[in-house]
Amino acid sequence: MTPSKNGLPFWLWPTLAVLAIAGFFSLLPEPELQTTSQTEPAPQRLGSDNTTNSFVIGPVEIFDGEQFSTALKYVEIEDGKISRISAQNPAPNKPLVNTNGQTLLPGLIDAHVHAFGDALTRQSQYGVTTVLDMFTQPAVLQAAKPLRSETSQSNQADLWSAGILATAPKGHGTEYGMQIPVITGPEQALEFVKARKAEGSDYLKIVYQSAKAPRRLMPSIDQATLIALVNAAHAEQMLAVVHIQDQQSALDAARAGADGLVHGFFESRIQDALLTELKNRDIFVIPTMAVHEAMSRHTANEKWLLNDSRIALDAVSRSNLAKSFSQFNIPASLYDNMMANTAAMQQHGIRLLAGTDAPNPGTAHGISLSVELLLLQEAGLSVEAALRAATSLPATEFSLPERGFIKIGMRADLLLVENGHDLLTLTRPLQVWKNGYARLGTEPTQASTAKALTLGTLADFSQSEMPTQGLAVSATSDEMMHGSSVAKLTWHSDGYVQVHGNLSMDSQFPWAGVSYLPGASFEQGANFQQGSSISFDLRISATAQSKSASATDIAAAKTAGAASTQIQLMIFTNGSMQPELRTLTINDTWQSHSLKLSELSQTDTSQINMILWSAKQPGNFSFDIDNIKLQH
Amino acid sequence: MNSPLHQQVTESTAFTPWLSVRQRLQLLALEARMDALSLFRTPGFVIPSLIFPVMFYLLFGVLFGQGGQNVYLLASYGCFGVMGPALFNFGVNVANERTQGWLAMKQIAPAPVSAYIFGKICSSLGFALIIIVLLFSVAAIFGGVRLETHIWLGLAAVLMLGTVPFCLFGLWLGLTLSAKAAPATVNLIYLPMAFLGGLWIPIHLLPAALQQFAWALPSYHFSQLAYQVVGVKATATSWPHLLAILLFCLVMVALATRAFRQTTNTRQ
Amino acid sequence: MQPYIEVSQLSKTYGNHLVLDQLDFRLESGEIVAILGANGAGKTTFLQTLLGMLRPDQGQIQLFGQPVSALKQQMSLRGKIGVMLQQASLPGNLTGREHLQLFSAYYPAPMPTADLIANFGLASFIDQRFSTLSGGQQQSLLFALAMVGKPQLLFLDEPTVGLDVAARQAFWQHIRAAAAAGISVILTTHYLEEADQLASRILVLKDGHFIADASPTALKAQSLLRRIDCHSSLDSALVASWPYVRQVEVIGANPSADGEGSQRLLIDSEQPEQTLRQLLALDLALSQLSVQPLSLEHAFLQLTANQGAMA
Repeated sequence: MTPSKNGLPFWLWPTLAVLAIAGFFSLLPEPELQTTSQTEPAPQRLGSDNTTNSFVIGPVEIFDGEQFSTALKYVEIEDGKISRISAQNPAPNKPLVNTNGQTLLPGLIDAHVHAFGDALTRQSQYGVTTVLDMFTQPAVLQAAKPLRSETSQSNQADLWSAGILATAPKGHGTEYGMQIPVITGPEQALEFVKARKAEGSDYLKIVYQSAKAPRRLMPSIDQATLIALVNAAHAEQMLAVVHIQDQQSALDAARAGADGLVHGFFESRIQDALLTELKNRDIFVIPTMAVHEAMSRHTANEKWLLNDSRIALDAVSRSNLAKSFSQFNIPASLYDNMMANTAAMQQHGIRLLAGTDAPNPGTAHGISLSVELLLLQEAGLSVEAALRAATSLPATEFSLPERGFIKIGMRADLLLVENGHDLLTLTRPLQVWKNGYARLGTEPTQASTAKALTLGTLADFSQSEMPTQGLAVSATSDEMMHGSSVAKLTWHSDGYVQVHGNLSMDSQFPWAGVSYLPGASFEQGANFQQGSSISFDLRISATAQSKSASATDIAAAKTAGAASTQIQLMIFTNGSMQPELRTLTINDTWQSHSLKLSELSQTDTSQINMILWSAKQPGNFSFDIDNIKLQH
Repeated sequence: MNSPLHQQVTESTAFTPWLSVRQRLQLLALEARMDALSLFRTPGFVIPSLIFPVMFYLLFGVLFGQGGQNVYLLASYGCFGVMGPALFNFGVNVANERTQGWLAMKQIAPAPVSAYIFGKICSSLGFALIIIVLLFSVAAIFGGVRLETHIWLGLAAVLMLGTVPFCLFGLWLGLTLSAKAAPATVNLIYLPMAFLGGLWIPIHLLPAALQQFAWALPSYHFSQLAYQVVGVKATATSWPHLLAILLFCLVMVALATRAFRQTTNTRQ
Repeated sequence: MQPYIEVSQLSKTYGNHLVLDQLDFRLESGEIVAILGANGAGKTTFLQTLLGMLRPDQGQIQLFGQPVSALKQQMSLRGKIGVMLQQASLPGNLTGREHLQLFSAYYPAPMPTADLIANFGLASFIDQRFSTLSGGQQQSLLFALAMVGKPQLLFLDEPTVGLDVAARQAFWQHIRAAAAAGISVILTTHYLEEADQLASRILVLKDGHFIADASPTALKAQSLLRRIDCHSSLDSALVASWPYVRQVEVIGANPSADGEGSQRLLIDSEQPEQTLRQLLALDLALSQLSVQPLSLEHAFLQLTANQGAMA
């Protein structure tokens, strides 16, 4: 056969066969690449029909909040509540979400978040259907509260919240710029708690740091006030949970009778004294592994999330997850303490709840709860224990009705993942149901909520300091976060705005300058994607208060040596507390600065909510800004 | 003795190879080609083997499917599709060729048994490849299946390799069964094994006792490996299934070897 | 010179039926040996035992000076023999040419396919599938397969069973050609004529023994019987009752010859002279008389009948 009849070489046919097979496989279709940040990855989006909250899902493996089911089952949902669970399809007439042994979990509960902006929408995208907020504005809480008992269609996680936290003047919690009531002594405790209850707080969060604690950065209430607050909360039938960051404070909080600690700590290894107190007093702990990991080791997000193309991450989450608390310079090894402490608490039977502290740097709403569970598993919790920490345990500790379990009568807040025994699959939910309505594969992309800016002028200040597009241009400084910098705006009738003031470096994040809010509101932000760059004119203010200053004045300024100075440009994306930064150099003549949108790596240009120009060098400053444009 | 027909080669000893390497390679290629030719000239084998898996996939995966199952069913019917030719090409054809005396002729001629089995495995694999190409095409065109290239390739590889245990199983059957009994018996094994292994309907829809029983079936482990490749939920790890299949292969090799010894020594 | 086949004390039983009983057998280079026997006499069992396909209960078999078990390992030993098994059949979907190609690949220096086709008259059907060939064509192809490896010794097990006369005679030509080329042959048959036509030596197998081992002529001479062929009006029963008459066969009445119920009689007699005297004395009209030595078939029948009587 080798030298075949027509003289073709014998290797021809095998080669052709191999080529044909290779060709065939190269022709087989691949999944569409998910290049845009908004799209869901979802190779299989099961049950994306969101027109009904009555259906059957099965056959699935169930994690019922406490354990995995031994056999595959069908779960019937009737009007947003779980009505039946059985081995065979209990209602063949209902729409069937036909699964194939994937795992159905109760909607997850994140026991430590800070819910503002679009947090609740982001959370539910990853199957986190209930969050416990540890500090937000009472207005947010009041708006969210009625929704908890609804079973109407919703894309948002339900919110329980402490509302305003209890902290000392200038203590932790005050640095975010929100004017909040503070407490200075035990005698104010009851009144303080009653006020919170009146505002709608579900529980009381107390910020406490022991006088004996190492590295005391901010003022704290004293131990007597702590005890008074805990007692007052209990008198008002509220849970009292305490923010601590070190062992001594934890011990004080435990002895004060707190119901729970909302952080773990890693400045030291946990000692028997504390373990015994926690155990004897039946105190739960929310170790917040994810945020501590991001502060110290900061490898988890890289390992589990950022390099996995199957995980749906928008630019905001992506940039948040990549951030760290690098300015604190915390050694990675401290995280070993965190793991050891969590393991020790687990071994002593102390109830651990999963909480992320999102959206702090290194965490993102929703997705970070998967990381939290993976970190708990890494610290030694079983998969079931980790899942309990995000379902039945927080539901029980915080008395959340109809949540945290898959049982008849429970709310159909559900999460379907490929394999519940592999916590990594939580990062890629197959489907999420909120109130029995499918959550994924149905919602319009988030970008559409932010208004799109049109090409051309955003603000030219020809008539006033009001922008042509957007909400406002205003002076801003760290004064709102208890800094001592000041900033003021002066509109000049020749059509520009002068920004002047004094930058003082005495706060953690000093700034003073001018902000531009491009959206209809701060929360909404604006979509810049119609253009490809933003431009604006800047100069150091002339000594004369006029754009038509005489040539001699300008010359004088030049010879005076005020040649150039630096401006800190900050671009804020919706949902992120950390801006993308650029440093600009300006001098005393108008210069146009242009910023390519494509070069903004940490910014979601479809939802920018603030652009801020701040002085960079301390002391008095004065600069002019004009012609903010969105360029093609 | 000096006639032109007579073999002039000197006496070979047991240590000098009978055939050169090139000749041995040619022999292997020829055995494979001839077995494949013989196979493809049997319409009663080719048509059902090609049509059934594709038809099942179209029926249950595309026409009556609920959607979202297309990848899962592709893996299932892929397993089902490649198992058949392996079992039949070995089970029925070996029984036939043994009964016909064709095997005995080869054994008396200086034809290595290994080449015979190699040829049959090659033709079975070739046939499996055709089924894979057909099924993948149907899945891609009508079932809307989209997989990354390495997953397509991985599934094809598992399906191809997965035919080997069934080739061995078929070999044992072919060496044991009579030519008359073989087709019916192989069908009686193939179809229930496919069904109980979860290749027609998902295993978890079967009663619990049958689900337990599936562990004893190579078809079940085969399909679980295929599910793992495409990432449709299977049991957590693949090594128990790999182990089970390896064990099955070893048992079949032992049984086939024994049957082969018996058939060479008791032939009438 | 080493015998090609040497068998001593070979026994084989099936159940309690002794098929081969302490047989001794040698086949020398150049011999054409026919094993003759009735159906079920154990010819095929003998051949398959020689080929190592059946394990004997006792006895030694050597092929080319080596124990038969060496066939399993030694390809070169297998290469020295060519075999046609009884009613072996090839996969029907392959053509003659494909079968020849495949078999050629088993040998380091096979006969060229073109020679095989020419020598064994395969040209007219070589590209047809095996299943479409006539019995004779199939046997010719199988013979060609046995010859592919240029064997020194051919084993042919009932090679012409089921063939018509013309096909059988054509097939004999192949065997004669092989023999002429110096190839030794051992064949089994239950056709006396075949053994007579082909063999240089005939062994008659009955009840596990070789009851005869001789050349066809010697075998025929061994018989005392002569056949008297005549037309006579004598009653066949009367003739059969005479001494020395073994058997009388009546071949139809012939009214046209003498009009008196004359018939053809075939009389097998141990003492033909004696019987002739009696015939001629009683039937003056006896005609068309001839006396012939018995055919090999008759000799064979007689031998087996005698053995049967002795047993």
